Amino acid sequence: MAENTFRERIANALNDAVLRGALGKFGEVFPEARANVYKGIDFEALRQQIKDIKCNTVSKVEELADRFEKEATKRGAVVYRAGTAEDVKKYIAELAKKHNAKSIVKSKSMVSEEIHLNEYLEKQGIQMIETDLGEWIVQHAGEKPSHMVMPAIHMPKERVAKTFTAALKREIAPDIPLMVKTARSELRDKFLTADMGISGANIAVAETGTLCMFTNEGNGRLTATLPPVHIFLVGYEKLVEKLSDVPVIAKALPKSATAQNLTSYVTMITGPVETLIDDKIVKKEFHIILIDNGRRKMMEDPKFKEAAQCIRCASCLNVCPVFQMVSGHVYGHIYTGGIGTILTAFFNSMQEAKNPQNLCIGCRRCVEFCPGKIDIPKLILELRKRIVDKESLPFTQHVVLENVLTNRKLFHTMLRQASWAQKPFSKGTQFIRHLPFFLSEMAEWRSLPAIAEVPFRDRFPKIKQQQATKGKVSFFSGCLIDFAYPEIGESLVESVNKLGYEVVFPEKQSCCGAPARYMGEIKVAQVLAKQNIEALENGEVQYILSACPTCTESIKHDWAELLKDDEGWLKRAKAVSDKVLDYAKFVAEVKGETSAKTSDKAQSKKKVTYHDSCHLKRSLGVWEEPRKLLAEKEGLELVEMKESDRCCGFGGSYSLKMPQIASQLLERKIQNIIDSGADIVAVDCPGCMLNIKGGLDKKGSRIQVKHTAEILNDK
Amino acid sequence: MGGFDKVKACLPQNAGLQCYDLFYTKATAVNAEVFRVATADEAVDTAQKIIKELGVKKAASVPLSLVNGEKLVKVDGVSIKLGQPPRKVIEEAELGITEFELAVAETGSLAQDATDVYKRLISSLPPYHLAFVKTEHIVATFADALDVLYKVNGNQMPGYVAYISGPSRTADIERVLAIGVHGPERVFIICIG
Repeated sequence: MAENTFRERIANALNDAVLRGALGKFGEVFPEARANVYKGIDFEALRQQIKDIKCNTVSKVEELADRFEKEATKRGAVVYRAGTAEDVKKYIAELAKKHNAKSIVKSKSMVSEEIHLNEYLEKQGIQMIETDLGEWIVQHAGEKPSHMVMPAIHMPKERVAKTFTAALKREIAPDIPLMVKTARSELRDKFLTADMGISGANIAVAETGTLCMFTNEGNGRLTATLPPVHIFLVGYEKLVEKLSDVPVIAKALPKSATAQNLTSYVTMITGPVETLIDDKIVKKEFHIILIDNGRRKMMEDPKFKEAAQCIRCASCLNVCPVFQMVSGHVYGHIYTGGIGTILTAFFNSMQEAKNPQNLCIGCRRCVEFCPGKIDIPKLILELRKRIVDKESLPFTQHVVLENVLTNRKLFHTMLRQASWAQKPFSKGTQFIRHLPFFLSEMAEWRSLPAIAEVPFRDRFPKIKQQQATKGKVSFFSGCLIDFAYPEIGESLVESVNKLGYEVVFPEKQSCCGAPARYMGEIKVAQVLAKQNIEALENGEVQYILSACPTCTESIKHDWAELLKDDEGWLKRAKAVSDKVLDYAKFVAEVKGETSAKTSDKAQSKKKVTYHDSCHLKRSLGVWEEPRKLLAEKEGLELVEMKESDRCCGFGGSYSLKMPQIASQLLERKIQNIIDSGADIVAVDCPGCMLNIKGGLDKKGSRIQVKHTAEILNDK
Repeated sequence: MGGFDKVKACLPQNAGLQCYDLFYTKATAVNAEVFRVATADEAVDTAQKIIKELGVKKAASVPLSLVNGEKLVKVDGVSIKLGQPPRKVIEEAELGITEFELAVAETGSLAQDATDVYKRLISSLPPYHLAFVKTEHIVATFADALDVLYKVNGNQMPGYVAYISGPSRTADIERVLAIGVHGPERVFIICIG
């Protein structure tokens, strides 16, 4: 898909109010419904079990495929192992020819969508009948599924009714029960007269040659029972070794997919069964097609084999703030959302994943929900890295990253100069409201912070610190605090010093490398990691503190990962990462258990609401600590906003790459903040601060945005 | 040993009445209509009452061993074909009557070896489905049921294992739940004992 078509699709999706209404509503109710159905189940333990099952599959997929083939054949199935989409289509076309098949009923199969089976067989004069309601609707609307579990979730009932009306050539009202009944009666004859049935499988059990289907409508049972020939389409990644693996996946799949305890029907088929034709009992002909089409390459890849842990529940789509706004069709291919982008890279090509991979904002919400324990954002970054390796970023961007970021003095000099250059635009306030030329889009929907006249690194020596009794800590400021919000750094130093620690500021620290990493520029990120490790190595300090969760995360997890191939550097990276803590976590730890405020003498309390940074909550597991600290602070009352851990839309360079999506995420966040009735929004991430401050300023709101360090340091 | 006796011999220790309450809760939560009776005769009475209330004219039933089928089919004004009815009869039936080896408490499901084609057709084509199951055959978990069906079949997977949890349903249009798509829209479960 061309770049401009891609942008156009996003713009259209964002302007489609009906689409957003339907998806948004579902996005709101799904997490709660899902949580209810998982009540009393240890989700962490369950998903570890699923991961183990799937890792076992990945480690010996050929062996399991052989075993499956042997067992299923023993039971009378014909097993065909197909390499490509083309192989599958030819095989089915030949079978259809052999049986003189005029019509084929299909229960849901994403593989058949992936290989565009309907189009192929229809050209040969065979009537292809989708029997899953959602699939039937998209088939007759001339579309593709937008979601792998709920193919027609993007369509309002009025559009569905139009599709029914056109397909059946009689007026059908937009009445959901009526349309469902109509589907039953219209399709009944098709089931009864079909020459062949095609189904998809959720699980293939190697030790017994069994295929499992989880369905709700009953079309799967009819497709498997009525026609004399039945074909199953099964991807290699659906294999599991043991029958006892089935109940484990059955425990998670319906809960994560549709918040059901179990689907209405679970069907397990081993070999051909009988059907009834003209009152004669007839043994069915039963074919199983095991399809590769890029799967084995994915499963052999040291990084992307993780994607084979997917059980296709699509809960990652249901909770993705970006998917909820743009729906599935903007991704451009059959598999949608973050996981779909990864599958597209292997089932189609890397090139075809190039545009949709940009849609991931990296908020990590999907990671919380995935029953296969897949780190989808991490895989998306890997995808980005490989695409950048191949194609490289636009020239100017690459030059900036490679030559400016890795040269700290040059980078910092440029930031200092920017403070002067921006003067005409900031008009002496804290914000830049209008920017010239190509930068204007950035400031259109949020004001940008002005670069500070005196950066934190120049202010630090002037901060007076008390004698320390407990020890020493280093402060890693990160670029935003250093050059845009030096006052956060000052508050941090003062408040940490009050807790009995002396703060040192290693001069040679530079950008943590996250922006380069997110753009796929791994070499740049490696250079920065080394520069910073050298700057931070200091035996005298007990902790390294950061007040930017993205920096903390880089130090904690990413530097070691970036340098893992160099033993010496890896050791040094780990020594540094062992010491790093985010500000709120540090304060909570050294303060220990303090009693909740018992005698709050403050006359009038200010209401504070807390916005969770994606990285702090989901990468670093910190969300209770800042709330506790804020609630204990005199004169403050903590109130929760709706969706406090929903991404604000900053996402580093995301807001430059995908401004339309980012601005709508921000709008929702701002509304939730305003609705909370708070006077202050507390944040722990200067990126969120930049974004939320800018959004509130554009709205003319008086709500203050403050870093937790600033609030705790307030007198 | 008959089919149901074999099942009984393979049941886990915690199966039976102690699983009933949870089964009832979970099955009714997925819109199944659950009844419990003491004896096979009462089961026939309850089934006949349901048939009359539904007002159906045509029904089809698999051969029954949990209740007296000959007695069950005697409902005034209703034609109930018992045994191995022709396909046309099943296609036109408004109610299908079956019996299940097992029920599952944690999911409110019925479970059976449905390799026999009549079991599958009669439980899936008509708009109403009525099933008998023994209360003592209610197992705790999905895994327990799979285990029993595997053992009863001589330690190998039956050709077709079916779990049924309530009526057929969809939420494919606007995520609105609608009951009764291609399978039955009402499922009655009579637990005996």
